Amino acid sequence: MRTMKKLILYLSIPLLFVGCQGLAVKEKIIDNYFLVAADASEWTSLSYHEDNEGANYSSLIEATVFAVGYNDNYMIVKQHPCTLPNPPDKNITNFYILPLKEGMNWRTKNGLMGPLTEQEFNAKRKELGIPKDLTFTKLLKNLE
Amino acid sequence: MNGRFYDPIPARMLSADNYVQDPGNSQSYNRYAYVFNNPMKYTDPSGEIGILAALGVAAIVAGVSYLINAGKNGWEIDPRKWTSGDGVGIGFTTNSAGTTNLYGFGNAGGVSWTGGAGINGDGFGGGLSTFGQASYNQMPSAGTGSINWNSVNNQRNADIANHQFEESSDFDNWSSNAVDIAFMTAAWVSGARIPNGGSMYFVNDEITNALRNAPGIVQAREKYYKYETTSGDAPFGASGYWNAKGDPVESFVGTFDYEIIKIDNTLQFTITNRTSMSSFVPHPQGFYIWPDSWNPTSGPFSNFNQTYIFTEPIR
Repeated sequence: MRTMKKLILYLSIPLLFVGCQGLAVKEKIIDNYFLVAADASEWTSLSYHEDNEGANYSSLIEATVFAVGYNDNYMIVKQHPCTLPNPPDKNITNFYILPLKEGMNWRTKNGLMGPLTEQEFNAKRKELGIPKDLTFTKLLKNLE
Repeated sequence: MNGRFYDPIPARMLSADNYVQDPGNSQSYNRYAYVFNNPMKYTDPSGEIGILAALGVAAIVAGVSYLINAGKNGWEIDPRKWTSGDGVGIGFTTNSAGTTNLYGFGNAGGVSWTGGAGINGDGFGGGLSTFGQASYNQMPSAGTGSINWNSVNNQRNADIANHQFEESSDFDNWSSNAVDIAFMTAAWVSGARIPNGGSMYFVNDEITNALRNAPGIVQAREKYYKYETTSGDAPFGASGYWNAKGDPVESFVGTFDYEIIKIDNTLQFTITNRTSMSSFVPHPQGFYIWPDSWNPTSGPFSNFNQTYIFTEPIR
Protein backbone atom coordinates (compact mmCIF):
# COMPACT_ATOMS: atom_id res chain seq x y z
CA MET A 1 0.00 0.00 0.00
CA ARG A 2 2.85 2.34 0.86
CA THR A 3 4.50 1.58 -2.45
CA MET A 4 1.27 2.37 -4.24
CA LYS A 5 0.92 5.70 -2.43
CA LYS A 6 4.49 6.60 -3.27
CA LEU A 7 3.89 5.64 -6.87
CA ILE A 8 0.78 7.81 -7.02
CA LEU A 9 2.71 10.69 -5.47
CA TYR A 10 5.62 10.39 -7.89
CA LEU A 11 3.27 10.17 -10.85
CA SER A 12 1.11 13.09 -9.74
CA ILE A 13 3.89 15.55 -8.94
CA PRO A 14 5.28 15.78 -12.50
CA LEU A 15 1.75 16.22 -13.80
CA LEU A 16 1.13 19.04 -11.35
CA PHE A 17 4.43 20.70 -12.16
CA VAL A 18 4.16 20.22 -15.87
CA GLY A 19 6.56 22.47 -17.71
CA CYS A 20 7.34 23.14 -21.30
CA GLN A 21 7.91 19.99 -23.27
CA GLY A 22 8.99 20.26 -26.87
CA LEU A 23 10.70 23.08 -28.68
CA ALA A 24 8.40 25.85 -29.79
CA VAL A 25 10.17 26.08 -33.14
CA LYS A 26 12.10 23.31 -34.84
CA GLU A 27 12.68 23.54 -38.54
CA LYS A 28 15.47 22.01 -40.55
CA ILE A 29 17.15 24.42 -42.93
CA ILE A 30 19.86 22.27 -44.50
CA ASP A 31 22.10 19.43 -43.34
CA ASN A 32 22.61 19.88 -39.58
CA TYR A 33 21.37 23.47 -39.44
CA PHE A 34 18.04 24.11 -37.72
CA LEU A 35 15.90 27.00 -36.62
CA VAL A 36 14.95 26.19 -33.03
CA ALA A 37 13.38 27.99 -30.08
CA ALA A 38 12.64 26.87 -26.55
CA ASP A 39 9.28 28.03 -25.23
CA ALA A 40 8.66 31.10 -27.38
CA SER A 41 9.00 31.75 -31.09
CA GLU A 42 10.81 35.07 -30.49
CA TRP A 43 13.65 33.03 -29.00
CA THR A 44 14.36 31.48 -32.41
CA SER A 45 18.05 30.86 -33.04
CA LEU A 46 20.02 29.25 -35.84
CA SER A 47 21.47 26.09 -34.34
CA TYR A 48 23.60 23.14 -35.25
CA HIS A 49 22.64 19.65 -34.21
CA GLU A 50 24.41 16.32 -34.47
CA ASP A 51 22.44 13.24 -33.56
CA ASN A 52 25.27 11.59 -31.69
CA GLU A 53 25.67 14.51 -29.30
CA GLY A 54 22.49 14.25 -27.33
CA ALA A 55 19.28 16.16 -27.70
CA ASN A 56 20.79 19.61 -27.34
CA TYR A 57 20.91 22.11 -30.15
CA SER A 58 23.99 24.36 -30.15
CA SER A 59 23.24 27.97 -31.00
CA LEU A 60 25.25 29.52 -33.81
CA ILE A 61 23.27 32.74 -34.11
CA GLU A 62 21.25 33.71 -31.07
CA ALA A 63 17.68 34.96 -30.99
CA THR A 64 15.86 36.39 -32.77
CA VAL A 65 16.60 34.90 -36.17
CA PHE A 66 13.77 35.71 -38.56
CA ALA A 67 15.07 35.25 -42.12
CA VAL A 68 17.38 32.68 -43.73
CA GLY A 69 18.55 31.87 -47.24
CA TYR A 70 21.19 29.49 -48.56
CA ASN A 71 22.86 27.99 -51.58
CA ASP A 72 25.51 25.29 -51.84
CA ASN A 73 28.26 27.49 -50.43
CA TYR A 74 26.76 30.05 -48.09
CA MET A 75 23.91 30.71 -45.71
CA ILE A 76 22.71 34.26 -45.08
CA VAL A 77 20.77 35.18 -41.97
CA LYS A 78 18.85 38.18 -40.62
CA GLN A 79 18.37 38.68 -36.90
CA HIS A 80 16.83 41.17 -34.48
CA PRO A 81 18.97 41.16 -31.31
CA CYS A 82 17.18 39.79 -28.28
CA THR A 83 18.46 39.48 -24.74
CA LEU A 84 16.40 36.77 -23.14
CA PRO A 85 13.89 36.97 -21.69
CA ASN A 86 13.27 40.45 -23.11
CA PRO A 87 11.49 40.84 -26.46
CA PRO A 88 13.58 41.34 -29.63
CA ASP A 89 14.67 44.85 -30.59
CA LYS A 90 13.03 45.21 -33.99
CA ASN A 91 14.69 48.59 -34.56
CA ILE A 92 17.97 46.80 -35.17
CA THR A 93 18.60 44.22 -37.89
CA ASN A 94 21.84 42.27 -37.92
CA PHE A 95 23.08 40.30 -40.92
CA TYR A 96 25.25 37.17 -40.88
CA ILE A 97 27.05 35.04 -43.46
CA LEU A 98 27.99 31.38 -42.82
CA PRO A 99 30.28 29.45 -45.12
CA LEU A 100 28.67 26.03 -45.55
CA LYS A 101 31.51 24.11 -47.13
CA GLU A 102 34.80 25.40 -45.82
CA GLY A 103 36.04 27.84 -43.25
CA MET A 104 33.28 27.37 -40.69
CA ASN A 105 33.67 25.67 -37.32
CA TRP A 106 30.21 25.49 -35.80
CA ARG A 107 31.55 24.48 -32.43
CA THR A 108 33.66 27.56 -31.88
CA LYS A 109 31.76 29.76 -34.35
CA ASN A 110 35.04 30.53 -36.09
CA GLY A 111 34.31 31.60 -39.65
CA LEU A 112 30.91 33.06 -38.85
CA MET A 113 30.70 36.56 -40.32
CA GLY A 114 28.55 38.95 -38.29
CA PRO A 115 26.80 40.69 -36.85
CA LEU A 116 26.98 43.02 -39.85
CA THR A 117 25.02 46.09 -40.80
CA GLU A 118 23.19 45.99 -44.11
CA GLN A 119 25.98 48.01 -45.77
CA GLU A 120 28.69 45.77 -44.37
CA PHE A 121 26.67 42.73 -45.40
CA ASN A 122 26.33 43.93 -48.99
CA ALA A 123 30.04 44.77 -49.17
CA LYS A 124 31.02 41.36 -47.75
CA ARG A 125 28.63 39.61 -50.05
CA LYS A 126 30.23 41.31 -53.05
CA GLU A 127 33.70 40.47 -51.76
CA LEU A 128 32.81 36.78 -51.36
CA GLY A 129 31.10 36.66 -54.73
CA ILE A 130 27.77 35.52 -53.33
CA PRO A 131 25.33 35.63 -56.27
CA LYS A 132 22.37 38.01 -56.21
CA ASP A 133 19.91 35.18 -56.65
CA LEU A 134 20.66 34.01 -53.12
CA THR A 135 17.83 35.61 -51.20
CA PHE A 136 16.14 35.20 -47.82
CA THR A 137 13.77 32.44 -48.86
CA LYS A 138 12.80 31.39 -45.34
CA LEU A 139 11.02 34.24 -43.58
CA LEU A 140 9.30 34.11 -40.18
CA LYS A 141 6.82 36.92 -40.76
CA ASN A 142 5.59 37.16 -37.19
CA LEU A 143 9.15 37.92 -36.06
CA GLU A 144 10.12 40.24 -38.89
CA MET B 1 -17.37 52.07 -7.92
CA ASN B 2 -15.56 51.23 -4.73
CA GLY B 3 -12.16 52.27 -5.97
CA ARG B 4 -9.94 54.73 -4.16
CA PHE B 5 -8.62 57.90 -5.74
CA TYR B 6 -4.96 58.80 -5.87
CA ASP B 7 -3.76 62.41 -5.62
CA PRO B 8 -0.41 62.76 -7.41
CA ILE B 9 0.49 66.06 -5.69
CA PRO B 10 0.89 64.70 -2.13
CA ALA B 11 1.37 61.23 -3.65
CA ARG B 12 -1.30 59.81 -1.39
CA MET B 13 -4.61 57.98 -1.65
CA LEU B 14 -7.55 60.19 -0.72
CA SER B 15 -9.21 57.50 1.37
CA ALA B 16 -7.92 54.75 3.58
CA ASP B 17 -7.45 51.21 2.35
CA ASN B 18 -10.01 48.82 3.81
CA TYR B 19 -7.34 46.27 4.47
CA VAL B 20 -4.00 46.03 6.19
CA GLN B 21 -2.38 44.20 3.33
CA ASP B 22 0.67 42.71 4.96
CA PRO B 23 0.69 42.68 8.76
CA GLY B 24 4.38 41.85 8.70
CA ASN B 25 5.24 45.04 6.85
CA SER B 26 5.08 48.24 8.91
CA GLN B 27 4.37 50.26 5.75
CA SER B 28 1.04 48.45 5.49
CA TYR B 29 -0.27 50.31 8.52
CA ASN B 30 -0.21 53.58 6.58
CA ARG B 31 -3.46 52.90 4.78
CA TYR B 32 -3.19 56.04 2.70
CA ALA B 33 0.06 54.92 1.12
CA TYR B 34 0.33 53.39 -2.32
CA VAL B 35 2.31 50.16 -2.69
CA PHE B 36 4.17 50.45 0.62
CA ASN B 37 5.40 53.92 -0.36
CA ASN B 38 7.67 52.21 -2.83
CA PRO B 39 6.25 52.80 -6.32
CA MET B 40 9.71 52.29 -7.85
CA LYS B 41 9.47 48.65 -6.87
CA TYR B 42 5.80 47.76 -6.84
CA THR B 43 2.72 48.45 -8.90
CA ASP B 44 -0.88 47.76 -8.14
CA PRO B 45 -2.83 47.98 -11.38
CA SER B 46 -6.01 46.38 -10.12
CA GLY B 47 -5.89 46.78 -6.35
CA GLU B 48 -7.57 43.42 -6.09
CA ILE B 49 -6.81 39.77 -6.34
CA GLY B 50 -9.62 37.47 -7.38
CA ILE B 51 -11.02 35.20 -4.75
CA LEU B 52 -10.89 32.30 -7.21
CA ALA B 53 -7.18 32.79 -7.61
CA ALA B 54 -6.83 32.82 -3.85
CA LEU B 55 -8.76 29.61 -3.53
CA GLY B 56 -6.73 28.03 -6.30
CA VAL B 57 -3.50 28.89 -4.57
CA ALA B 58 -4.86 27.64 -1.28
CA ALA B 59 -5.88 24.33 -2.79
CA ILE B 60 -2.51 23.74 -4.43
CA VAL B 61 -0.50 24.73 -1.38
CA ALA B 62 -2.68 22.67 0.89
CA GLY B 63 -2.61 19.61 -1.31
CA VAL B 64 1.08 19.58 -2.02
CA SER B 65 2.25 20.32 1.49
CA TYR B 66 -0.14 17.71 2.89
CA LEU B 67 1.20 15.05 0.52
CA ILE B 68 4.80 15.92 1.30
CA ASN B 69 4.33 15.80 5.01
CA ALA B 70 2.23 12.68 4.90
CA GLY B 71 5.06 11.05 2.98
CA LYS B 72 7.59 12.24 5.52
CA ASN B 73 5.56 10.70 8.31
CA GLY B 74 5.18 7.21 6.96
CA TRP B 75 2.00 8.06 5.06
CA GLU B 76 0.14 8.80 8.25
CA ILE B 77 -2.99 10.53 7.08
CA ASP B 78 -3.82 12.26 10.37
CA PRO B 79 -1.71 15.43 10.65
CA ARG B 80 -2.14 15.42 14.43
CA LYS B 81 0.00 12.29 14.57
CA TRP B 82 2.84 13.70 12.48
CA THR B 83 6.10 14.03 14.34
CA SER B 84 7.91 16.15 11.77
CA GLY B 85 7.14 18.22 8.76
CA ASP B 86 7.87 21.26 6.71
CA GLY B 87 4.50 22.76 7.34
CA VAL B 88 1.03 22.07 6.44
CA GLY B 89 -1.66 22.55 4.65
CA ILE B 90 -3.50 25.80 4.63
CA GLY B 91 -2.50 28.45 2.21
CA PHE B 92 -4.34 31.56 1.15
CA THR B 93 -3.69 34.80 -0.59
CA THR B 94 -4.31 38.34 0.45
CA ASN B 95 -4.13 41.39 -1.70
CA SER B 96 -1.57 43.85 -0.48
CA ALA B 97 -1.17 46.87 -2.65
CA GLY B 98 1.08 45.47 -5.26
CA THR B 99 2.26 42.41 -3.41
CA THR B 100 0.14 39.35 -3.50
CA ASN B 101 1.07 37.41 -0.45
CA LEU B 102 0.70 33.70 0.02
CA TYR B 103 0.41 32.66 3.63
CA GLY B 104 0.82 29.26 5.16
CA PHE B 105 -0.04 28.10 8.62
CA GLY B 106 1.12 24.88 10.04
CA ASN B 107 3.05 22.76 12.34
CA ALA B 108 6.66 21.77 11.97
CA GLY B 109 7.76 19.09 14.37
CA GLY B 110 5.34 20.23 16.99
CA VAL B 111 6.28 23.89 16.79
CA SER B 112 3.56 26.11 15.44
CA TRP B 113 4.52 28.76 12.99
CA THR B 114 3.04 31.09 10.46
CA GLY B 115 4.70 32.52 7.44
CA GLY B 116 4.07 34.66 4.45
CA ALA B 117 5.54 34.65 1.00
CA GLY B 118 5.05 37.60 -1.29
CA ILE B 119 5.25 36.78 -4.97
CA ASN B 120 7.43 39.71 -5.80
CA GLY B 121 10.88 41.15 -5.35
CA ASP B 122 12.39 40.10 -2.11
CA GLY B 123 9.34 38.81 -0.30
CA PHE B 124 9.26 35.31 -1.71
CA GLY B 125 12.48 34.07 -0.17
CA GLY B 126 12.02 35.13 3.39
CA GLY B 127 8.51 33.86 3.58
CA LEU B 128 9.26 30.51 2.09
CA SER B 129 11.93 29.87 4.65
CA THR B 130 9.15 28.87 6.99
CA PHE B 131 8.39 25.96 4.68
CA GLY B 132 11.88 24.65 4.88
CA GLN B 133 14.88 26.63 3.81
CA ALA B 134 15.19 29.97 2.10
CA SER B 135 15.60 29.17 -1.54
CA TYR B 136 15.73 32.50 -3.23
CA ASN B 137 18.97 34.29 -2.66
CA GLN B 138 18.29 36.88 -5.29
CA MET B 139 14.90 37.95 -6.43
CA PRO B 140 14.81 41.30 -8.20
CA SER B 141 11.35 42.70 -8.75
CA ALA B 142 9.47 41.21 -11.64
CA GLY B 143 10.51 42.80 -14.86
CA THR B 144 13.41 44.86 -13.58
CA GLY B 145 16.05 42.49 -14.87
CA SER B 146 18.64 43.74 -12.42
CA ILE B 147 20.92 41.36 -10.56
CA ASN B 148 23.16 42.05 -7.61
CA TRP B 149 26.34 40.68 -9.10
CA ASN B 150 28.36 41.27 -5.96
CA SER B 151 26.09 38.89 -4.18
CA VAL B 152 26.29 36.41 -7.06
CA ASN B 153 30.07 36.49 -6.93
CA ASN B 154 30.11 36.09 -3.17
CA GLN B 155 27.80 33.11 -3.45
CA ARG B 156 29.96 31.67 -6.19
CA ASN B 157 33.05 31.92 -4.03
CA ALA B 158 31.20 30.35 -1.12
CA ASP B 159 30.07 27.52 -3.38
CA ILE B 160 33.60 26.87 -4.47
CA ALA B 161 34.86 26.91 -0.88
CA ASN B 162 32.14 24.58 0.32
CA HIS B 163 31.98 22.36 -2.79
CA GLN B 164 28.20 22.57 -2.58
CA PHE B 165 27.90 22.10 -6.31
CA GLU B 166 29.18 18.54 -6.00
CA GLU B 167 26.44 17.53 -3.62
CA SER B 168 23.41 18.24 -5.75
CA SER B 169 21.14 15.39 -6.68
CA ASP B 170 17.51 14.99 -7.68
CA PHE B 171 16.49 14.54 -4.05
CA ASP B 172 18.43 17.34 -2.38
CA ASN B 173 15.90 19.64 -0.74
CA TRP B 174 13.18 17.78 -2.58
CA SER B 175 10.31 18.72 -0.32
CA SER B 176 11.16 22.41 -0.01
CA ASN B 177 11.77 22.60 -3.76
CA ALA B 178 8.43 20.89 -4.39
CA VAL B 179 6.66 23.46 -2.22
CA ASP B 180 8.50 26.33 -3.91
CA ILE B 181 7.56 24.99 -7.31
CA ALA B 182 3.97 24.65 -6.13
CA PHE B 183 4.05 28.35 -5.26
CA MET B 184 5.45 29.21 -8.67
CA THR B 185 2.83 27.08 -10.37
CA ALA B 186 0.17 28.78 -8.27
CA ALA B 187 1.62 32.19 -9.07
CA TRP B 188 1.46 31.45 -12.78
CA VAL B 189 -2.05 30.01 -12.56
CA SER B 190 -3.32 32.96 -10.54
CA GLY B 191 -1.28 35.60 -12.39
CA ALA B 192 -0.14 37.00 -9.05
CA ARG B 193 2.63 39.55 -9.54
CA ILE B 194 3.59 38.10 -12.90
CA PRO B 195 2.87 40.60 -15.65
CA ASN B 196 3.28 39.62 -19.28
CA GLY B 197 6.96 38.92 -19.77
CA GLY B 198 7.56 39.32 -16.05
CA SER B 199 10.64 37.54 -14.79
CA MET B 200 11.86 35.79 -11.70
CA TYR B 201 15.54 35.19 -11.01
CA PHE B 202 17.14 32.37 -9.06
CA VAL B 203 20.85 32.51 -8.38
CA ASN B 204 22.98 29.80 -6.80
CA ASP B 205 20.23 28.53 -4.55
CA GLU B 206 18.43 25.27 -3.93
CA ILE B 207 16.29 25.69 -7.00
CA THR B 208 19.28 26.18 -9.29
CA ASN B 209 21.11 23.34 -7.53
CA ALA B 210 18.35 21.06 -8.73
CA LEU B 211 19.17 22.01 -12.32
CA ARG B 212 22.91 21.33 -12.14
CA ASN B 213 22.43 17.68 -13.00
CA ALA B 214 19.47 18.06 -15.37
CA PRO B 215 20.12 15.99 -18.51
CA GLY B 216 20.08 19.10 -20.71
CA ILE B 217 22.70 20.77 -18.52
CA VAL B 218 24.86 17.65 -18.34
CA GLN B 219 24.89 17.55 -22.14
CA ALA B 220 25.58 21.27 -22.36
CA ARG B 221 28.47 20.96 -19.93
CA GLU B 222 30.01 18.10 -21.90
CA LYS B 223 29.64 19.99 -25.16
CA TYR B 224 31.30 23.02 -23.62
CA TYR B 225 34.36 21.04 -22.54
CA LYS B 226 34.48 19.05 -25.75
CA TYR B 227 33.72 21.74 -28.32
CA GLU B 228 33.58 25.07 -26.45
CA THR B 229 29.88 25.30 -27.29
CA THR B 230 28.53 28.17 -25.22
CA SER B 231 24.79 28.29 -25.86
CA GLY B 232 21.89 26.25 -27.07
CA ASP B 233 18.44 24.82 -26.54
CA ALA B 234 17.69 21.75 -24.45
CA PRO B 235 14.38 20.06 -25.30
CA PHE B 236 12.58 18.17 -22.56
CA GLY B 237 10.05 16.02 -24.37
CA ALA B 238 7.81 13.31 -23.01
CA SER B 239 10.87 11.32 -21.92
CA GLY B 240 11.99 14.32 -19.88
CA TYR B 241 9.66 13.38 -17.03
CA TRP B 242 11.30 10.00 -16.77
CA ASN B 243 14.78 11.50 -16.99
CA ALA B 244 13.91 14.09 -14.33
CA LYS B 245 13.38 11.21 -11.90
CA GLY B 246 10.77 13.06 -9.88
CA ASP B 247 12.74 16.29 -9.57
CA PRO B 248 10.03 18.96 -9.34
CA VAL B 249 12.29 21.76 -10.57
CA GLU B 250 13.39 19.92 -13.70
CA SER B 251 9.79 18.92 -14.37
CA PHE B 252 8.59 22.48 -13.98
CA VAL B 253 11.30 24.04 -16.15
CA GLY B 254 11.12 21.44 -18.92
CA THR B 255 12.58 22.71 -22.19
CA PHE B 256 14.98 25.60 -21.74
CA ASP B 257 17.50 27.86 -23.41
CA TYR B 258 20.99 28.06 -21.91
CA GLU B 259 24.17 30.06 -22.08
CA ILE B 260 27.57 29.26 -20.57
CA ILE B 261 30.06 32.01 -19.74
CA LYS B 262 33.58 31.57 -18.39
CA ILE B 263 34.35 33.99 -15.57
CA ASP B 264 37.84 33.69 -14.12
CA ASN B 265 38.10 30.07 -12.98
CA THR B 266 34.37 29.38 -12.95
CA LEU B 267 31.61 28.62 -15.42
CA GLN B 268 28.35 30.47 -15.15
CA PHE B 269 25.26 28.72 -16.51
CA THR B 270 22.27 30.90 -17.33
CA ILE B 271 19.05 29.03 -18.03
CA THR B 272 16.03 30.81 -19.44
CA ASN B 273 12.56 29.34 -19.34
CA ARG B 274 9.07 30.62 -20.06
CA THR B 275 5.98 29.08 -18.55
CA SER B 276 3.09 29.92 -20.82
CA MET B 277 -0.11 28.40 -22.06
CA SER B 278 1.49 27.53 -25.40
CA SER B 279 4.32 25.64 -23.72
CA PHE B 280 2.09 24.17 -21.02
CA VAL B 281 -0.31 22.53 -23.45
CA PRO B 282 1.41 19.35 -24.67
CA HIS B 283 2.67 19.77 -28.20
CA PRO B 284 5.07 18.10 -30.61
CA GLN B 285 8.32 19.88 -31.33
CA GLY B 286 7.93 22.81 -33.64
CA PHE B 287 4.16 22.94 -33.59
CA TYR B 288 1.98 24.83 -31.17
CA ILE B 289 -1.43 23.38 -30.39
CA TRP B 290 -1.95 26.56 -28.37
CA PRO B 291 -0.20 29.29 -30.42
CA ASP B 292 1.82 32.15 -28.94
CA SER B 293 -0.79 34.66 -29.98
CA TRP B 294 -3.43 33.03 -27.77
CA ASN B 295 -1.39 33.46 -24.59
CA PRO B 296 -3.05 35.81 -22.09
CA THR B 297 -1.18 39.12 -21.92
CA SER B 298 -1.79 39.58 -18.22
CA GLY B 299 -3.40 37.91 -15.25
CA PRO B 300 -3.90 34.18 -14.83
CA PHE B 301 -1.86 31.91 -17.10
CA SER B 302 0.02 34.82 -18.67
CA ASN B 303 3.65 34.42 -19.75
CA PHE B 304 5.98 33.84 -16.82
CA ASN B 305 9.72 34.03 -17.52
CA GLN B 306 12.29 32.57 -15.18
CA THR B 307 16.06 32.90 -15.27
CA TYR B 308 18.16 30.43 -13.32
CA ILE B 309 21.85 31.16 -12.79
CA PHE B 310 24.43 28.96 -11.14
CA THR B 311 28.18 28.79 -11.14
CA GLU B 312 30.72 26.04 -10.70
CA PRO B 313 34.50 25.79 -10.82
CA ILE B 314 35.93 25.11 -14.22
CA ARG B 315 37.36 21.61 -14.56
